[in-house]
Amino acid sequence: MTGPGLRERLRDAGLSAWELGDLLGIHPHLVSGPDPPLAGRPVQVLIEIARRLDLHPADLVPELGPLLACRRQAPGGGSGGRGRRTDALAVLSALATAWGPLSADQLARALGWQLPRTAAALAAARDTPGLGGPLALWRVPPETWTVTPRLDILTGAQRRVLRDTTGAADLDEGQARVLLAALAAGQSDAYAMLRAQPGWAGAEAALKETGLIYSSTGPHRVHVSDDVRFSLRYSDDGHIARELGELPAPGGAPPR
Amino acid sequence: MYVVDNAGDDLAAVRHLNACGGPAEGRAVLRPTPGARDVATLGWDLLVAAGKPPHAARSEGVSGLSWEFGQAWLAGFAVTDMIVDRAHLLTRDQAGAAAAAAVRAGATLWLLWGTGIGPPVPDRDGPPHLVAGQDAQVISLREFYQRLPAAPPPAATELGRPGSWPPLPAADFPTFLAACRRYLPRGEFAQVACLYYDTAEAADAWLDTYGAFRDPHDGQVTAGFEAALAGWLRDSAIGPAPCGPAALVRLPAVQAALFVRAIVLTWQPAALGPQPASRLPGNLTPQVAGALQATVRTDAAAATALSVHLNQGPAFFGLLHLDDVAPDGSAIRGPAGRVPAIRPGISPGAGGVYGQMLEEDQRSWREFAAAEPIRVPGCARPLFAAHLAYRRASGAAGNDPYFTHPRDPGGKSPVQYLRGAIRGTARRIGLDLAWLHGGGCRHGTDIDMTWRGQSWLAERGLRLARGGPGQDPAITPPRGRPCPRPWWVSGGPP
Repeated sequence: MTGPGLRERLRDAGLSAWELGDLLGIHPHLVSGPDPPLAGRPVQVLIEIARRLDLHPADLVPELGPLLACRRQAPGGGSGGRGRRTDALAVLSALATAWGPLSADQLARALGWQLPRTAAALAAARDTPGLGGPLALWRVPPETWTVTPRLDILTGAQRRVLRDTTGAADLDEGQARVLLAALAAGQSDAYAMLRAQPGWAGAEAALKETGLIYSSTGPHRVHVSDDVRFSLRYSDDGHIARELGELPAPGGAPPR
Repeated sequence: MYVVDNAGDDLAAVRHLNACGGPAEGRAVLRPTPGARDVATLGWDLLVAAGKPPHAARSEGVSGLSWEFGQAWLAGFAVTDMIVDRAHLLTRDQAGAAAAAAVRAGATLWLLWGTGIGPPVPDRDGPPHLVAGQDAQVISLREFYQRLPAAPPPAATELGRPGSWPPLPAADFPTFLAACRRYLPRGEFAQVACLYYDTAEAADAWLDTYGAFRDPHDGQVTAGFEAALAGWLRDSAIGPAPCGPAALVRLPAVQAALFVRAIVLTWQPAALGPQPASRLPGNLTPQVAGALQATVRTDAAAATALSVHLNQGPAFFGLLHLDDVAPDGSAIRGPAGRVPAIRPGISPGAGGVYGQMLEEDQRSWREFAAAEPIRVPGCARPLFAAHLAYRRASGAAGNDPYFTHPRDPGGKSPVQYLRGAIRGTARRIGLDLAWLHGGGCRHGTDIDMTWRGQSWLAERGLRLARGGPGQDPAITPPRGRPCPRPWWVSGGPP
């Protein structure tokens, strides 16, 4: 698929060529224009484009077609005779794509099917939970459906940690300023005065949310987490060893 | 000069020559084209012996300069042994030219004489030691094998492949080492921690050596320090990393060492693609250098290598002198005292996008002309040494330009020529150099005048905060002695 087809797929994916270039780490010129010069690109780039846009690699570089032995999947929509399993997969995929729960008739309209076929597909998906992989079909009263993560794979503790986990903490300049101040003067009165500076509260809150600093005796005093002190070479790894239950071995041998 | 008596034109001799290695091992095997009796054709054979494709000289339009470039490449690779296979095919002139080339390169000449050292062969000029009129020693094939053994296999680079490293956490530098400690098995953490501590200590040493990096008036990190840091990261800390994961360990170590001195170096990997760590090491890899060594024109190869290494165009390359380049190509001293050309059409002090262009030019110039010389990776040194040899052989003196315009060496600026040569060479070896794209792309006029900064740091998503916390003395962290690394990481109990 080149030219307009690729552009359509980019639009469906909500990506501009520039955004795709940024995501892939290639120059946007390589995926823009009516006939992008993809034939000479590294294989890794083609694979990533195919993944990002859910394309078959042969759609990007037609010369690959005869070389790839994998079976092509017909474009969406589908006609009769594909079986309940395929219909169930289509329904699950549609529910995963939708913003919220859908009723059977909304699903039928979206997929262009008759209502009985949709209902049969929903029933098949409900009867065969393995089809959804890590997702489970959920009925949302009164008569709508959605998919959510299955509850029988992760432990409760793992789910709690996931709920509490925030995004990766990439320091911006404001946060770096607060973290440095916490290192330099977190236990002194100077820190309380620094907190009056504009933008300080937001950066401090972000650092506390990610666990890099914490306060135990009030907001005017902050401590830097042991992980940060270890990574910045201010302390050793004793706190992690204790957390992992590693006991110091006799004779100086490293704990196993 | 040795004449090797290969009376039987033994196939084993060919096998041995194939095992002797190539220019990278200091050896060049010259195989004369059968039936060609002119010196010019032997010049093309010399280029092939120096690692060039057979038709490269013609495709680059330098067929008439094959001996000059071949000689330069022999010098660039520091070839110590030049072997002529089936030397009995050489004419008197060809043998003389080959001997002269070996003498100029300071190489030992080995002539494998395939018809035996006996009476003169009809229609041939006779044994070459008589032809060249030089002292030559006739040795047997067995003695040849002993005196010039096969090249040893290349040493494997330790931990040079991504698969040598465990999966690394995506944590930012303040918690990177702790995340490695917590989520990696002990042995793999020790591997990571060794490199982390080594790099951090190297950063400490470099920062101690550098001295004052803040302007005493406004407290900002100086532009000179930014350029020096870019050079140090490029040549010593991040750039030489053999693979992405190794660079991904080195980077947070450097960031941590800088951070405790209130210098904030941030990394934004979001726009670097699916494997952002693979974008961190330097671009002048052994693969790229090897591809460039197939170029005949020494100026095109050296300029492309320099552009790839610095991630900048050739705007200032014309200011380099021969004396600025180390004889072995290992270092290039920046032309700090020389004045770069001002970008035409933009007056100094301009604002907006034009001001950004000027700032970008100045940043590139500072990186190019930093106090510390540019360290060239070992794999690319022959490229620079070869062009140095070519220029010296052309009669250039130490204070003459290293790069010149080929048609008007004395008067015309080489920049536009070099830009075209770099583009052509990069296209030939399959590189897309973003910093050589056209003006509309480079200056962001194709994306609503949004400036697309291009520098060694920007190519890797790195940004040094010039202002920042270090301006405030109240929040400069304590500079104690860093905590020593765990003894089981350093290799043994204290």
